[in-house]
Amino acid sequence: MSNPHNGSYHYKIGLVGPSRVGKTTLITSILDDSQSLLEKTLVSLSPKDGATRKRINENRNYLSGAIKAKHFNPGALAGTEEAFTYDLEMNVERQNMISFSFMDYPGGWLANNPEKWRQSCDSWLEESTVLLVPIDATVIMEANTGIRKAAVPHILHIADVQEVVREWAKARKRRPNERSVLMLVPLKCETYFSDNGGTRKHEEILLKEVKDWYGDIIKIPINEEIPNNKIYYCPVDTYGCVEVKKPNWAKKDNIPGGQEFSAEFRFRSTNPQIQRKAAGDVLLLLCKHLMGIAYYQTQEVVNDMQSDLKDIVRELDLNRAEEDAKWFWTKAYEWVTGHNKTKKAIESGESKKTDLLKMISSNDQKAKILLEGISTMLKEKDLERAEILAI
Amino acid sequence: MIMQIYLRTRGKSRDLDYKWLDKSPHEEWWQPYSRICKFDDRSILVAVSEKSFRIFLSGIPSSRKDQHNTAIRFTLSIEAATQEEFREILPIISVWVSEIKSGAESIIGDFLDRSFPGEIIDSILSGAADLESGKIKSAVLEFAGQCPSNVAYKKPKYFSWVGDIRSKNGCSYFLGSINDFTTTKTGLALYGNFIENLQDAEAIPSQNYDCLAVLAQLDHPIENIAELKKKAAPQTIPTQHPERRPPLGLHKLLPAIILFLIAITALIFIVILIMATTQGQQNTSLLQKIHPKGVVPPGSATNLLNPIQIKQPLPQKTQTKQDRTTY
Repeated sequence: MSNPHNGSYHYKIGLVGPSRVGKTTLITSILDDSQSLLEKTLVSLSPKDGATRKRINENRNYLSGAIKAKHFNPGALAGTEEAFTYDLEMNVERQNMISFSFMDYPGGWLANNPEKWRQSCDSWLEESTVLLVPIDATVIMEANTGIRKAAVPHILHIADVQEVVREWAKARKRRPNERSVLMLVPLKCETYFSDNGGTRKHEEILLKEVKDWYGDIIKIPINEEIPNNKIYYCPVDTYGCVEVKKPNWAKKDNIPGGQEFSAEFRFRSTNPQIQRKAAGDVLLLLCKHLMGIAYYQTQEVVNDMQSDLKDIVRELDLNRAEEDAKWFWTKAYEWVTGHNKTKKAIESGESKKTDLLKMISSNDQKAKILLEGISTMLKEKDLERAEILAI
Repeated sequence: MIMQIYLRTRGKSRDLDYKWLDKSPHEEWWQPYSRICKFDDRSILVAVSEKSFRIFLSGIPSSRKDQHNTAIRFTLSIEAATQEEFREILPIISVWVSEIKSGAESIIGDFLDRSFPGEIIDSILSGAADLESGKIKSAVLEFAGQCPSNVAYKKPKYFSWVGDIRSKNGCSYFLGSINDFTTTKTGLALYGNFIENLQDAEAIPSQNYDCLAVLAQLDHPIENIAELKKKAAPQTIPTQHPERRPPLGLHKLLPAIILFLIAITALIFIVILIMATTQGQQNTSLLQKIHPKGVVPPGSATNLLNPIQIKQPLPQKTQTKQDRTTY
């Protein structure tokens, strides 16, 4: 966890969604293009270790390979079998300021493996300052009959997601000073937006559907009265160059909801290329939020340090007065024995004072850089699609 | 304890995510290596200690696909109890290492697909059916029996080494190291899909093992194996007995004590001297009181003690106007 007093700013990003909803795809989408998405800002992202870098690269290869093969497979990314953390570093003005991690895990743990969920995900989500809820937009948009609509909560495990969001909100409440963000992120939205080569203009319908299906989840942070919380809606085009050709609903009596959903996609052009849209919104909001937290935590550290400095100066004055008031024989005795507690206390106080002054100055500098970094990020009104649902 | 074999895979439906069939391993002993080996892909991890023989084979391809057309995989976790049991599994390791190298279709995957058809897996994972007890173990041992038993290996010249899986002899040395584990040594052998260079390989935690054999796809491929410098186990600092107090270190204070004693002696001497002088002055003033004119009569006690004639005392100096100006 983050410990600003040691100069370490580490944050956890939580993801909650069932199996095959697109957790890995979301992480890949927002990290893959990070260089280009952040190019006009003072901020840059880099993988913290080789495992993270290799994993992002491999995910990218899977996705681009699926497009280049000209035979689109929405399940190109191999399913996740073991939990994996993507560790990243955020540099502001080329200085390493913040590190953060996403945890990806097999979505089946959410509903069917409570033991694994408890072991691996519970504490992670409790400490997460940001919670991302990926939503398969095709499921909620293509459910066009009563039976299919009835299956949507089962397919997307909305009740399980809601339970996790409630726990997260309670944990946030226990940390009232730490700002938090809940993001609802519909994925595979290219079919329903017209701003990225699509023909349908169903963006308002998608928003309405998300609010309908996830309304109770949106209300949780408000009902729990979490201070300093924002809820965003960020629809993302995962591929950009494809759209739903045929939704397939299959009747399955042995599964909850009785319906199974999959979709066939087609390419929009003969020379398709990944053309993501609005993944940058998630990334920018994420970076801005983390920098904001780091900025406030730095300020708190500076305030704490200044108060410590006052105490040290006061103690130094007292020790100096005590040293001055010493009788000649006491001084002589201390000089002969070499034991002078007051003198040592003064020396240690002086050294502490110097160190604190240095740290205050360094933290002030950090806060300044963070503020500059935030100022170069896009304003909320300039984001491509994201909008705020509640504060 | 008898040999335990666990199998993990997923079902076709969205809800039937990766899970151990039948029962799961008591301990996820492979987890510390999750940033070295990519367990969602083809990898191998063999850990032999004095007490256990553990093998983890992941990313074994199945011909099944899930509802989203994503390829499904198998993972095998084997815990052998004895060297003999471990030797029984060696042929599977040998086959799997060559399949990791080739990246081609997997005969292990085919065998598992035949032994555990999709419908059976779906019904086990959905809880509709139970797996026949001991089925996984018998199937895996049956496959091991079908594999070529004469494993071709080379004895590596180092205890700890890294090699490129694409090199000519990398896999043979790897199997050679694992074969050594069947005799006396303890060791760790793995294919690290996340390893890029020698430094990454040297950072692998392996203090508890005599040998470390690492295969990887290195950024700069090497034809022969390279020795790895094993990190020394952290030195244990002897803990001090809590009741035993540290020595006071009086010898360090000895010069100060001597100095202090000299100073005290000198001080006493000075005090005596001052007292003696003060006593002398008092006696003189007493005599002056007896003889107001300041003349000591001859033969008096003071005169005897002090043969110098005490003269008339000097008149008190009065400050004149002239003196003040000189100041």
